[in-house]
Order: sequence, then structure tokens, then C-alpha cells
Amino acid sequence: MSRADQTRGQLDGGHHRGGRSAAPVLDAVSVRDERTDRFVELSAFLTGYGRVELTGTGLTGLYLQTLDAVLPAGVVDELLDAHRRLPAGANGAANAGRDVAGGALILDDPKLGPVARNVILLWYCGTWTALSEAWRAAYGSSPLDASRVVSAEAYQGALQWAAAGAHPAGARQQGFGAWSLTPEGVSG
Amino acid sequence: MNTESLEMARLRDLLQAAVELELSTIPPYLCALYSLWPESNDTARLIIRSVVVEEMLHMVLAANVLNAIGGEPRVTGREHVPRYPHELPDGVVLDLLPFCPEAIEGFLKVENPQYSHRALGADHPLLAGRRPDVHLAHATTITQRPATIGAFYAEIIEGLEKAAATTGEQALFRGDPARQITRDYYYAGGGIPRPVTDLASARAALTEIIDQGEGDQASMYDSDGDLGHYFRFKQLKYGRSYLPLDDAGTPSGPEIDVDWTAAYPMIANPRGDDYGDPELRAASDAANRTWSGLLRQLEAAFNGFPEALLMAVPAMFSLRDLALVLLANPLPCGDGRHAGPAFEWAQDR
Amino acid sequence: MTAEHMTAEHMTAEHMTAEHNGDRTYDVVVVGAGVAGALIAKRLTHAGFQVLVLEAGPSTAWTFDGYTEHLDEFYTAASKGPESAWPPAGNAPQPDTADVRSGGGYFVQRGPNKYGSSYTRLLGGSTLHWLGVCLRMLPEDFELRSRYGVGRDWPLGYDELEPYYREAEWEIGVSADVAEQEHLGIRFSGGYDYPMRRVPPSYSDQVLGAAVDGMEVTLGGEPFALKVRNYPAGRNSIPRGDYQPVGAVDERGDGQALAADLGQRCAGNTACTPICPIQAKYNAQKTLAQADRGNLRVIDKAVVSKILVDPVSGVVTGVEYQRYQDPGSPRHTRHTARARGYVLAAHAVENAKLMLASGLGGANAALGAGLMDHPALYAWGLSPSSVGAFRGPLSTAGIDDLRGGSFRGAHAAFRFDIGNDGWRATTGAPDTTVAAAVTGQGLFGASLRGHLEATLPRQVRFSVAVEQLWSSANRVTIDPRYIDPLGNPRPVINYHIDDYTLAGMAAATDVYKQMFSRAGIEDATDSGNSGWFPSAGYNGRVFHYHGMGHFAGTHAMGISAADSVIDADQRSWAHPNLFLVGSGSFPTMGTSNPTLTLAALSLRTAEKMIKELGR
Repeated sequence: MSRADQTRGQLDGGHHRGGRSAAPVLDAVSVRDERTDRFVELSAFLTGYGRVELTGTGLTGLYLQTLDAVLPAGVVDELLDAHRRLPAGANGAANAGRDVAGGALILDDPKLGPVARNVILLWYCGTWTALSEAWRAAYGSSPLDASRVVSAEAYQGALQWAAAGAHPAGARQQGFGAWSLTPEGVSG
Repeated sequence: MNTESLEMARLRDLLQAAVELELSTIPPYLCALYSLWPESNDTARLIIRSVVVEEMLHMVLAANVLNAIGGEPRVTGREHVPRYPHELPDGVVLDLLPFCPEAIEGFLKVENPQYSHRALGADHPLLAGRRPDVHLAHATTITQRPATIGAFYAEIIEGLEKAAATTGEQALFRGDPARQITRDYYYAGGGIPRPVTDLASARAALTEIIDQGEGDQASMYDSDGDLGHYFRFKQLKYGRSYLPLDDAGTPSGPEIDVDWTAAYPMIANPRGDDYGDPELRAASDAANRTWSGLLRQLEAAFNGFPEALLMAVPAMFSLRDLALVLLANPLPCGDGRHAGPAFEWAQDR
Repeated sequence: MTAEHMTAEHMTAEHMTAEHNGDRTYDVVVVGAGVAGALIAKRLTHAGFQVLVLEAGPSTAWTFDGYTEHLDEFYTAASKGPESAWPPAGNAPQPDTADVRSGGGYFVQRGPNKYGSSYTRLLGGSTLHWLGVCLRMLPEDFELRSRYGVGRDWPLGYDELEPYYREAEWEIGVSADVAEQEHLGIRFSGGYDYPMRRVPPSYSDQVLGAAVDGMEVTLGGEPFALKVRNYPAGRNSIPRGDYQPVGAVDERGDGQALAADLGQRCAGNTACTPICPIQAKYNAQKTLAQADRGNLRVIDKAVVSKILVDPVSGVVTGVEYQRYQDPGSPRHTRHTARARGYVLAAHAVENAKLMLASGLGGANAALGAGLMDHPALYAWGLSPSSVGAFRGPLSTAGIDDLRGGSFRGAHAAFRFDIGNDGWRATTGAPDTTVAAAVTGQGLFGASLRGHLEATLPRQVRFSVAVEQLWSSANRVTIDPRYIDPLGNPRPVINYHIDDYTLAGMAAATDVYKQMFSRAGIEDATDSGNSGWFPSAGYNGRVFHYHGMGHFAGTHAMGISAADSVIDADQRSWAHPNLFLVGSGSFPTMGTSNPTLTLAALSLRTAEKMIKELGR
């Protein structure tokens, strides 16, 4: 199955009415291709969440496809390559020790920085953030580069809610009385 | 030991087996439910959810009867927590499967033993060697096989009637009424857990379990006017709703949109031991710990602290979130199957 | 003549869009299928009367599938305001809070201040997206003029309305404990308790209560002790006695109504506004579903455009309405509905607008005058430790202690709502918190995650609703230059926030600062961040306010036709068979959300109508 068939994102920026289950948008089949794996590793580096947690959102394919669709050809691979070239951590773990140095290399780069930040916002918020005029003038633009919620699933799988120790507003309810309980991580 | 005590011990054993039996149906339904993608299969989701909450009601009803005769329901520990695959008294084997036609076939058989279905053989590709050990339900080990679930509950009712006649109804139902679970703490559609205090209420509780499963003898609908579970699942199998005037054959109502592809392809009968990847293993352990915590809350609720049910609900939703992470993760072996919640007892918290 | 009766089994959405072709006369025509109209329709149909409900908007939320589409609308909306789940029908336009910023939209705002509230014209009305606060008005709220020399008096008092408050609490399904609500003069008849136990207070409420309970503030020289208190909520909790919580409306002609099992308890979806995914929160569709369906006819997408009146007797002889099929196309057919009695339940603004458009403004200029809101302030900050933000209903508690007192002779009373949803309403958190950390501070990876985990759970938000007084300067009028796609007039709003209210805002601001200080909350209230809120100045200070969706006063009740529009039964002085219901009937706002009071008044009016229609 080709990568293009693997997932179909909702790039029209909206949801589809009257056919909610018509287009599967989550990661149905595990195409363990190397590029997807590298994207997950990059995302783990950028977000601070682990591989299983990120894959566990079911949104990996959708996000990668969104990036590929909106950005000029080659930009995503440039970012993946830049991440791979970062020096590995002393203990050999893929992302350990890359933090500060890696941050400057990628996030301060005028071309890759905004893209990397968009990757973070995709994972944390489920939204695509339109790039600046300056970036578009320098590196290319696309009619798909408009700020929007990527999909209803992305809204629900956004990591910001997990970071808050909560749940996406309007979804994944916690159950009657859960809000009275001491939040995780707080003693007593 | 005199015959009275033997009878009473037998009754408590049967009722404990009933509690475990109802509990054992829940993880298979939850795996089917949780494997559904968000934004898909709305009707299937509502149907499976409605059955799950009624199975929980059945478990509560069984616990109420056991409590009413002075027993102590147990749902924790390796001895009492169901393991999968799980064989029921009538020979049906419960597997943990994702939402798929085979899973629905299994549910149809569980809810109506008369339903003849093509049982999943151990060599079926879906199972692919995932049934090395079949665990017997407690109910299976203490009844004469083959025995339908209906016959199992009938034996309990008979036993209660006989014991009431021998020792007197009041002496039989000597359990502390404060241990009964009532609608304050258990809620959902599909029924109210009435407290059990005598033979009539015990009979009503046990009959309700059978009725909600198969529909009562005369009709496809239970006493609340809801379709029996068996018929709810038939709707999924045929992709159509039952109209009020339909008979028990094929439903003739509006189409139900069922998308069998909009579900994570969970591996059958997941086990934590199979996850070599340490991150995946950690996620599985977390899910098992949450399941075990939920069972501890249930056990507390069944043993004098009914308000503990209030804690069980958030625990269940927490388990859902952990299960979703597992379900979206493909297994490293690369054949396309995904991880899933194993519902294994975790001794440590 | 088409078959007019609809039995329970067959009242599907299809039947609700059926055409009305005949000259059939009903007992009562109700304009508007919101909470007021639904309650009256339910009571009248159960008493055996034939009722026609005309609803301007579509009934897209009536089936659970349709309701779920509104939920999807919300998930993918870029901005998550009250209207984000409820797009308007072009032919039944409604105000949007975003219009307040852009200056356009349905309302023609003449100023000097912007009116910040919105409402929804759909079957179910604004209860589709309300928060669910069901506070009773204080006894003193009915006697503002006599007690404090400001505002107006109502022509009935708390004691007269009290039995109807109880009925409304049952109909809506309100969760609270009487023991916690008996303060500020609110009294309950002996032995009464609410249908359901109070919604469990949030962890946030507990933390704030521990810090703030008992602290004293002074207003008008009088000391007040503050206490964090659960508010009575129209959302399902543990029932008392034989009350059975009502879950989601799932109307289907065919198949099992499984969604009705949802919503038996609040599950903490934290999205009450704009939409509760499981309908654990009350919405008026529940009441409509409970009407005697054999006596009820509902026609949606039917905009009432004119009230026909006998010029000699003043008796209403019919209502004209425009029936459309496609909400986006102005093509429509015209019809007339006739009945013995008529109820305008279309909302405070729409009621007044319709009366004016029909030439029924009356001689005393009271109709349309007295438009009030609760202009509300936000305050937000960071608690020193986690409050478990973003969980539970949008709010569960508030601070009521400053709703009453002799200071009301000098400035407005006010009430605090304590949010459970972090800074979502004020700044757009958590998204904006994430964006600030990523783009503003350049955080990423573990340090980003750690920052968010440490920050988001500490976000605290207060809303303060401030009272307004009835004023003839604040009004709804119409102007032939401003019409909507169907040719009906758009509401023209004159609105001004006076010193009485502004002084209340100042007092409220001082109180919140004291509370933040007491609780160690780092004040992050930053009007620059939310600069699109309209503002009003007072004594060198600037207050940024927003509407709470609490319209009132446009057809206030009174003791005489000289200065009011309706009597205590909500009957029009000029038109004996016409009742105007809803919060437009209020002569004062008080500080409670209007829904429960308007529901109580509606039930009282229904009782009156049943006696008079007298079968």
C-alpha cells in the first residue's frame, strides 16, 4: 500500500458532514517505513513526548501528510535530515542530549525553524498555523497554508490537553465526579 | 458439614461465578468499542456502549444477590479476574478482538446460545496462534458441561428457592442491606439496580440478566422496551435497524452505517509479555494497573462501600485513554496488527 | 386538508417540516421553541389543548445524528465561542459575539456602548449553548425601587413566584442542595430539596474555597464575608427521591433511541458552552419531547413576521409567518396561523422587534425600552499550585455574597462565576499558552512539555456579572433601512452602560483583586490581550466587558399600562389574548442568570392560560 493511500487527511480545512466515517483518516495500517519513523523521532525531539505516546494519537500519518501537502517540495525532508544530523546523546539514546544545541540548529534556522514550530503546534494543538509572509516570499507558498483545525480527530488527539492533565474540551469525557479528584501529580 | 451449609456454599459459589461471568463479558466489548476510530461508526458505538453498561448492571445485580445472602463478591486477584481467551459454560470462547465481523459473531453467540455461528477456529487468521491457553470461567468449572448460561442462572434461582424453603426466606437473605448497590451510585440507561432483600427481588434481578441478553421468552424486547442485546448485535451484523413490528429474523428498518475498516486492527488476545518494546510494555503495564485499580474500586463497592463506584467511572475513562494509545500503536513485528489493552491483573499499583 | 395530528411515534424531523396549508384554528400559537415556549407548549398540550409552535430556525439538533453534526462543527471551528457549534440560518439571522468586534452582523448597534450578547434561533434556542446556571432571583431583586430607590419594582414578589421556581427546577432538572442555597433571603418551602444533589464541586473550587472562604470585604460601608458556593445547575447529577434524570433527546421514527441513555450524569466534557456532547445539560428540546405529542404541532423554519390585531378590540386574530425550505435562500411561502390565544416566546429582542414590526409599539414607549444585559468582566491569573484546570463542567461554583445589600442604593450588585476551564474563555488557552511558549519563548521538547504541565493546570478564571437597571435610553427599535434576507427588520440597538453599573464594575474589580491576593493568584488579567472586548470608561479606569447572553427588559411587566407592556401574568395590557414571555418581561435583572426565573414565570403563565381556555 503506497503512502498516499495509507491515510487521507482532511486538507479542505473542514470536517465532512453526513459521511463521518466515509474517509478513514487515522493510521489504519502500520506502514513502518523509514520516513515515518524518522518523522516520529523528530516529533519526539520537538514535543518532549515519546514515540509510543505520539504514535498512540493515531495522527502521525495525517500530520506528515499535512506537512507534505502544504510545504514546498523537499522542505520536510530537509527538516528530517537536519534532525538526523544532530549529534546523538552521550548515552546513545536518539534524542538525549540534543536539547539545547539542537534547538539552536533547527529552531533558529530561518527556513526550518518556523516549520519545526509548526510541527510542534500540530502535535500539541491539532492546528496548522499559517506561515509568515516573509517565509512564503523566501521559500514558497501554497493555497493550503491557512490557519485551521486540521480535523476533528486532530482536535481530540491534541497533546495540550494531556499536558494540562485534562481532556479535549467537548470530547474524551473524564466521567462524573472526576473533576473533584486531586489532579495527577498533586499530592494529597 | 451439613447439607444446609453445602447448599449455601454452592449458592455462594454459583453467585460468585455469576459475578465473574458478567465481568468477563466486559473486556471483549470494551476492546471492540475502543478500537473504533473517533468520528466513525456512531451507531455501532452507541450499541456496544449500551450493551457494556448493561453488562455492568448485570454484574452489579449478581453482586447484590450474593451480598443479600451474606456473601462477599470478589473481582480482584488472579483467581477472580478473567483471562483471555475465556471459555464460558456453554463452550463459547470469549476472545479479545477489535471491532470486526468475527467479534460481532462472538457477541451474538454469547448473548444467545441458540445462535448457531461459525465458531472461530484456533487456526483462523484473526487468531493466528493467539489461543495457546484457553482459560475456563469459574462458572464453567463448577457446572455440568455443556450448560447454557440460561441453565446456569436457572440453577441459581432454583437453589435460592430451595434454600428459602428449607431455612426460611429471612434467614436466607440475611445480608447487610447497606451493602446493596442502588441507583444512587450506578446509573446509565438500561435499568436500575434494585436492592435485593428477598426471594422476589432476587428472582427479579436474575431474570433481568437473562431478559436483557436474549430478550424475554415471548419477545425480542426486555421489560423496559429495549431490544435484547442479541438483537442489537444482529443489527450490526445486517447493517439495519429493527422496526418495532419486525420479527426475530432479518431486520428491515433503516440502514446502519457500519464501516468495518474504521477500527484499529488490534491483535487478538493481547498480552503484556508479547510487547518486547519497553515503551509499549510500559504503556501496557499502565493500562493493566488502571484496570486493576478499577477492579479494586468495584470490589470495594461490592463490599460495603457502594460510593466507591463513583471512583470507578473516572477510572474507566482513564483506561479508555490508555487503551487508545495502545490501539494506535502497530506491533514491531510488522504484520500490521496493533497493540491493545490486555486487561491483565497487575498486583502492584 | 392534510393530516394535522402527530402521534408520538411519528413526530420525526420530517413531520416537523410539514407544510401548513389549511385554515385550522388552534387553541394556542406559541412563537419560538426555546425554553419558555417549550414549557408552555408542554403544559398546555398535557392539559388537552391544541398547540402550534412556530420556530424561526431549523430543527437540526432534534435528532441525535443532527446534534452530533453540530458537535463536529465545534471540533473543527477555529474559534470556540458560544456560536461555534450553531451556525445561523440566513433567514433567521442571529447576533454573533464576533460581530461586536467587526461592527457588522445582525444587530444595528447605535451605541454609545456595544451590546455584547448573542442568542440562537434554532429549535431549542439558547439553551442549546447556555452554561446551565439556575439561580433564583433574591427577594430583594423584586423590590429594588422600594428598598433601594433605584430601578423598578416587580408586580409580584419572590413568595408568589416560589412555587413556580420549584416547578421549573423539576422541569429543567436542577442539581443543588437547599442547605447551601439558603442565603441572602432566598427561602424554600419546608421539606423541599432540589431534584438532584449538587454537582460535585471541582478541585479548583475546593482550593479557592480553602483560600477565600470567610474573607471579608466592605461595600458601602457594610462588611460581607465571602464563600465559594456551588450554584444550582441544570445538569444531571445524583437524583433524589423518584426523580429520573433526563438524558439526550434521540427522536427517531425507526430504530432504537439508544442515545437517550447518554447524559444521565454530567461527565465533565468541559464544553457546556457551546455544546454538551451527551446532553447531560438541560436544553429546551427535552421539554418539547415531553409534550403531549398528540396535541402538539411544531413547524420549524417558520419566521413569524406579523401579528394581526383587531383594531377595535385589540384582540389578536392571527400571526403571519414565512416558511422557507433552504436556510440559505430567501424563497418562502406565506401563511397565517390562527388560535384563541397567542404566546410570544421568541426571545426578548425578537419579541419586541415583532411587536414593533406589527405596529403594536403601544402609546407608552415601554415596548423595546429597558434592554438590559449582565455586562461581565473577566479576571484571570495563575494559582500558586495546580487547581486541575480544564476539567469538569465549565464552572461549578461562584461567589454570591455581593448579590445583595444596601450598597445597591449606590452601585450595581455583582456575582462571581469561578471557571473550571483555565484561561480558555479569556485568552484562548490552551492553544494560546502553547503558542506563547513555542513562538514567544522558543520552548520545545521536554522543557516545553514541562512548562505546559506546570502552567496549564494552574490557570484560574473569574467572570463577574454586573447588574444593569431598566432605562428608557436602552432600547430595541426598528428602522426600515435595515432589513434581513426575508425582509424582516433587523434589531436596532441603543445601549449605554450607566454610572450605576460602572461603579459596580469598579467595586467588583477591587473585590477580585483582593481575592486573588488572598489566594496568592498572580493576576494575569490583560486587557491588551483580549483587546477586542468592548470597553467603557469610568473615573479614569477602563473596563473591558462582554455580554453574558442575558437579555432582559424589552417588554417589562408592571402594575399598570401606563409604564409597562404586560401584567404580572405576562399578558399584554393592550391585547387580552396575547402573552409575551421570556426574560424580556423582567423589570430588573438582579444578578442571576435569567433562565430559571423566566421558566418559573412561563409555568405561571401556562397555569393562568389553562384556567382561562377552560376546558
